[in-house]
Amino acid sequence: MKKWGEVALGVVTSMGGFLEVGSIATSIQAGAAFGFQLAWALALGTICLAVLMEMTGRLAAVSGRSYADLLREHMGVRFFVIPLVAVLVPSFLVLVSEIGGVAVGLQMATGIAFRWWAIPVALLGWLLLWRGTFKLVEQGTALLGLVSLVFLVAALKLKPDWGAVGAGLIPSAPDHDGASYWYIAVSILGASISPYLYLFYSAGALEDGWSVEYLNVNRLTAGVGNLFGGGLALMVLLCAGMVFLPRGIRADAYEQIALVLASPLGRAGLVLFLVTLCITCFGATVEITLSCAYLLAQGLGWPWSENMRPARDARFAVTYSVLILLASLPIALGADPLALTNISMVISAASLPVTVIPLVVLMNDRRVMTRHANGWLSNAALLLISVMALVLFFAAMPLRWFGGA
Amino acid sequence: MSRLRSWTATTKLAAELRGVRSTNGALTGQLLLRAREARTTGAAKLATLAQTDSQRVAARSLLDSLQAGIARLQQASR
Repeated sequence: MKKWGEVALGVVTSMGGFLEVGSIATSIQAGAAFGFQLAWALALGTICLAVLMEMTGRLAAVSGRSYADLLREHMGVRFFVIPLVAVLVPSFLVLVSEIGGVAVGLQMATGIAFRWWAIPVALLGWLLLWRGTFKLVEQGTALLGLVSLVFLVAALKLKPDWGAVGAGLIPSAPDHDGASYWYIAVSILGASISPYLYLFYSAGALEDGWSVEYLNVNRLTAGVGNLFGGGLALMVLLCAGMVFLPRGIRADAYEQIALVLASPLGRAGLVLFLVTLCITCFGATVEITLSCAYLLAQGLGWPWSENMRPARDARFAVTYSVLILLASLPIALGADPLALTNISMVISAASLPVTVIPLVVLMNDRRVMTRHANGWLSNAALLLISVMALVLFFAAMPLRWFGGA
Repeated sequence: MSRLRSWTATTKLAAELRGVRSTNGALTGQLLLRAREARTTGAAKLATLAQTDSQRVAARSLLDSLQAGIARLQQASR
């Protein structure tokens, strides 16, 4: 019974935590420019994320060790530096974007320029990390993030053509702006499969003390939670496709994006959009900060746990403190949050191969995974994701150049 | 040009929403600022890109539409 409670909470957490600045911005840009035609990219990203989360969660539950820890042990310290840098750089950029998302939300609510909000937001995040426990960070922000269900209400009110939505789930070539179409597709995949998401999930499994008995909990949480989360992101895309596309509005600025719910739901829609933006971005801010600190501490063998007092894992606590404050500086100095979001999603997509490909080796090592190693189906899925990650690696930057303007 | 059209449509939607009090003053003010920025950069770009008379007429028409949209939004925000 306790485990079913954990599954329910895990599903709600995954759902509430799915939306953040990247998924909101890319889904809205996709809907505004191409209607429902890019729904397949969201579906693909969601499936890939669910597979990767299930595997990194299983790895942690079976071995009792983190992905970063095992990666360093198996591949050596020299190799470990590559995924470390490849994850830290895009994650840091995404972190800056998330702080920017909260700051812009507060700017639209109060009229006070977003740059003034960056440091207070970072300090609030730091305080939560310093004083809070893992459960508070993970579940507290995700439960509040359920306010994002407003997109479901708005989408239903707008009455989408479900046949067209179904057609959008099948990949198709665009009839205009090809480079922009593929660029947004890559951005959606980058936002959906950010490495910080599955590394945070894997570290969370260890924080929660998962063992092999939790493999079914892991499977259900990763599968159902992401299904609902991805569904919510699809609702964002549908809203943009019905509000912006017919009017010819391309979402170039957060101020335009904010109108997406005001149109179907009135003043309440605007308020709920701003609350959703602030809460989901704040939740992602603390999760990414923790994820980066976990990666560094686990990879370098430092003591780490969000549940420990900072004095007992001082290097871990200093890492997240410095990271979150550093990440607030570009926004405080006036960097454009939406431009940063777009570039960070593309870099995030390009960084996928270095975390996905080594997972093939670890998930098939029977000394680590015992009888819970990957079967042929899991390996086929992981192989497909690895190939896709390589394609994204080579395509991301040229598409940024040709399609990102 | 698509950016100018997009901002013209944005000002139209924002004015409608402000008219029925679905948006707040802070957001409307920021939208006005962004729309003016888009018009200024658009005007500078079109001045260099428009080569023929017909292109210049089309560019002028786009800029005028956006200016009208800005005026409408400004009126709605009062």
